[in-house]
Amino acid sequence: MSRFFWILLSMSFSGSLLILTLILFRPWLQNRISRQWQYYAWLVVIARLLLPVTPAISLAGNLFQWAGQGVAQSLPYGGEEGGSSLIWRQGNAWTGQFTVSNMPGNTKPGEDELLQGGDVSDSAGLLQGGDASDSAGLLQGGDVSDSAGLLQGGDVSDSAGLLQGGDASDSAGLLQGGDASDSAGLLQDGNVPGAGLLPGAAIELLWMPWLAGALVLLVRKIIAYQSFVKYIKAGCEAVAKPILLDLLALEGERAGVRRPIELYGNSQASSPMLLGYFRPCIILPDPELPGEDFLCTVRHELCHYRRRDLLYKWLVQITVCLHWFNPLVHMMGREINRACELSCDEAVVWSLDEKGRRAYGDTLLRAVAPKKNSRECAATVMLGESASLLKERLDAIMKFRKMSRGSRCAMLLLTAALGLGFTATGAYAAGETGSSKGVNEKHAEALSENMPPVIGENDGEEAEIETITIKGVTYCLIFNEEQLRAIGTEAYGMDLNYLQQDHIQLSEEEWIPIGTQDHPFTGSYNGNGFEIFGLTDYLFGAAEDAHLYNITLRDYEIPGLEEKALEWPQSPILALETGAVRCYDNFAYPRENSEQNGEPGVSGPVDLAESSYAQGDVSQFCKAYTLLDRKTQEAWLERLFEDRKIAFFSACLWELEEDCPMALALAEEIYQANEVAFFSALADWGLSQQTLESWLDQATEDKKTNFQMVLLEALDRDWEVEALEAELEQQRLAGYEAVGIVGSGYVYEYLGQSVNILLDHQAGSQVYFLNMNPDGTVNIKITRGADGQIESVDYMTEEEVDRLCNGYDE
Amino acid sequence: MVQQVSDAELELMKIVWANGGTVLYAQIMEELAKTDHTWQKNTVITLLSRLVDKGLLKTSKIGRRNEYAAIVSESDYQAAQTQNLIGKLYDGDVKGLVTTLIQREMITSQDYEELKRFWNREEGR
Repeated sequence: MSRFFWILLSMSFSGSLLILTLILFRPWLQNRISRQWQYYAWLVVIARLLLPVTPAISLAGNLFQWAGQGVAQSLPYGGEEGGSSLIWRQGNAWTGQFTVSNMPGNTKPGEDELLQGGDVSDSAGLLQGGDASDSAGLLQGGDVSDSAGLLQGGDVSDSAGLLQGGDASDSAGLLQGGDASDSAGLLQDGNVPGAGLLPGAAIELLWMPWLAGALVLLVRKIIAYQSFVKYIKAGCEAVAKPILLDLLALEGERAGVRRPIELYGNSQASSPMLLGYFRPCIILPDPELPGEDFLCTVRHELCHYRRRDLLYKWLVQITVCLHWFNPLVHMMGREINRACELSCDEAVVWSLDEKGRRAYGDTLLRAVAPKKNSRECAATVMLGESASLLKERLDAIMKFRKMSRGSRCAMLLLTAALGLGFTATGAYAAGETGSSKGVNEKHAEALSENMPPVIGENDGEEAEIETITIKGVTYCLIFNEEQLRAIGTEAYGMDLNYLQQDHIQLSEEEWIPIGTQDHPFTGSYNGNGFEIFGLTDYLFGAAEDAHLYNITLRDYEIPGLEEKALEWPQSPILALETGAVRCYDNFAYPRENSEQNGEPGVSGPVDLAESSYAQGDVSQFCKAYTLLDRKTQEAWLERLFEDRKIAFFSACLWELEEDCPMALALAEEIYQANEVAFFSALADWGLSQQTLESWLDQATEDKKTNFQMVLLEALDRDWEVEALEAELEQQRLAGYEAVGIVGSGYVYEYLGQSVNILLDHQAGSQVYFLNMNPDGTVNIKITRGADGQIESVDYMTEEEVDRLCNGYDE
Repeated sequence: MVQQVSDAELELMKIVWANGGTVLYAQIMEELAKTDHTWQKNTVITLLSRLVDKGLLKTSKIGRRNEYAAIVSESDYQAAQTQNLIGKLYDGDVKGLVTTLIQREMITSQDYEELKRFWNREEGR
């Protein structure tokens, strides 16, 4: 709190400098510079008084920082010297040399006396040291000269409320001992005689009365405003004439005020005024004004409303409350009121001609003239005030001329100067004894010390840990293999909570289970639904009182796991449980192909394919085949065709990409070899419709009806298939007739004898036509050549029939 | 107790009543345009908000539009105003009012007869 007060004092000081500058320049500025500028320039001062922002090096900052050092150093240096050096420093500050060295000891005694001057010497109380604002230097020449310090300012007594009993001299009791000569009784009593310099302790004591004063003043202002509003509203009568309301509405439109504004008449009001921010209303002492006066008045008040003057005024009031001890701030408040009216007049007069301006002046005069009523309040916007202000206003109205370019330039320059003043004066924002950290920085530092980071990063050297805090529990986030492997090392303790954030594919490197029997994992691991691929050993080696959940292992391959799995169901997750472990919602999927093989030591799919081919195990071969790389697959396809293993061949085809070079080459090869069965298999899987159609053309041209058939079937051209079938049947029967076989369907006769078994096959081909008729008596075999022409018809031997029947049974 | 309203405000109330008790702001402006009144938009809004303050209207938003609804019906308002008139001018003496009406021929004899019949019927109940 005292620190805050210290900053406030520094702001009060730098604000005072700006106030003085503006007030001193006012007579010169008055008619040269836009009133509007003069009005809003005060905003810079208010900002200086309210905002504790400051550049690294500033007047107040240096001065107050030094004063802080003075506190620390005053004891070693002893009273007299410390005190006087302070004043010396002030002198320098005022003459504008901001960069004095910070060592009070530099001061020469001779200089001290020279600079101290008479006035200062008897009032060198601690407040002057600490605050510096109103005391020494410039101001001492003027009004404040004799008073001890800042708190004694005449203006304070106006407003101090609590601190000021009946009259000004009483108020001194608390803050200022009696008069200047005994200087600050209360505050200096405890001090070493002559030293007069323990601001730190004094500040501790002072901030409380300051706060009390500010609060009392603020509350008083608010209450006063409220009761004033109540008083005014009570006597208000809504103006009923629509014509007046229309005038107001039209004026409002012209002034850019959208919101409807209420219009009241109140004979109690001393002058026209604007009240209320959210429901604004204009109150006229006499609504029956002559038209011209009504317009002028309304224009003026609307201008106040448009410029949000009420807000500005409250801002000023708050500033005054906070800096109630600073008479210059009170002075500023009055100056702003003045500037407010003047600039408002300016804004209204801007659009008027000479005659209009005169009328406006007349209105002002008439508004003030008749009755002067008792109650007025700081936070209302009134048209008239004191006589001197009125005089100034009338003067300004008549002298009004539009701004020249020169004055516009001057305005810009002045604005720049004011901004410079704002930054240069700065505010005291240093640490206890001269550290130069800004308030905000300091604040941030305090925050970071007191609060644990919600999402923070640890500067671990090995791997970076990111953490997240959910309901007070901090989880370390695991995004990748490196972090997963780091658990149990360095910053990744065995007792922490881990939260997986992504799928993790483990590399070939050997996996070392987390936790050992001697040093088990005792934290928690939440797999969070993400998977871990390719684990080659238990995820956790040993765990105790741990919590393992939501873990999903995929494609893990842990040698010798099978037997263990029966004993301990969590086996792929955890090898050894040394204490109560909660394990749930975990899933583990072993790597399939190697698991099914089941024989440790059996190698990859290449050997498996070879062995299963040798054994004639098509399904096993298929599994191995899918795991082979493309080149090996193609080699196998070639080999299977060469070996004429149709079963293996067709089983492997489904992986073949449609129309890939391999498929096209195979098609060519098979076609040339006349292997309809292989072609059929290939047609089903490896060829696109387009390719099939071109092959159909080829087959039709070559009169290879069997290929045609296969292709038509593959192309799903059923109608053509039927037609072709019929044609083929016709051809077949015609062929039979030529060799002495007659019949159709399944009833045939060979040389007058009924045929029991009829086998029609082509040499070197696996396709054959077989017909059986139980009523038949002879078994015949038709053999065709490579071109499909019937070469011979023979009776089948017993042996052949047996072989056929066995094969058929199979 | 119904508060006194100004002539302009009564004008607006009549529009609200004529519209069946609820009316949109835009409708009011339409109705006003039909009469001779060329009041400004803000004037009408001010007058309406005064009526709201006096408890004669209530306002509700329909989307972005303001709807005004009469809290006091026309007949209630007339009764209250009449009561007020009798209380103020005739010290509560209704006869005085009727006398004035008849003496000044503000009421025709035909009206009077009709009133009498109405009165007797009421008494017969």
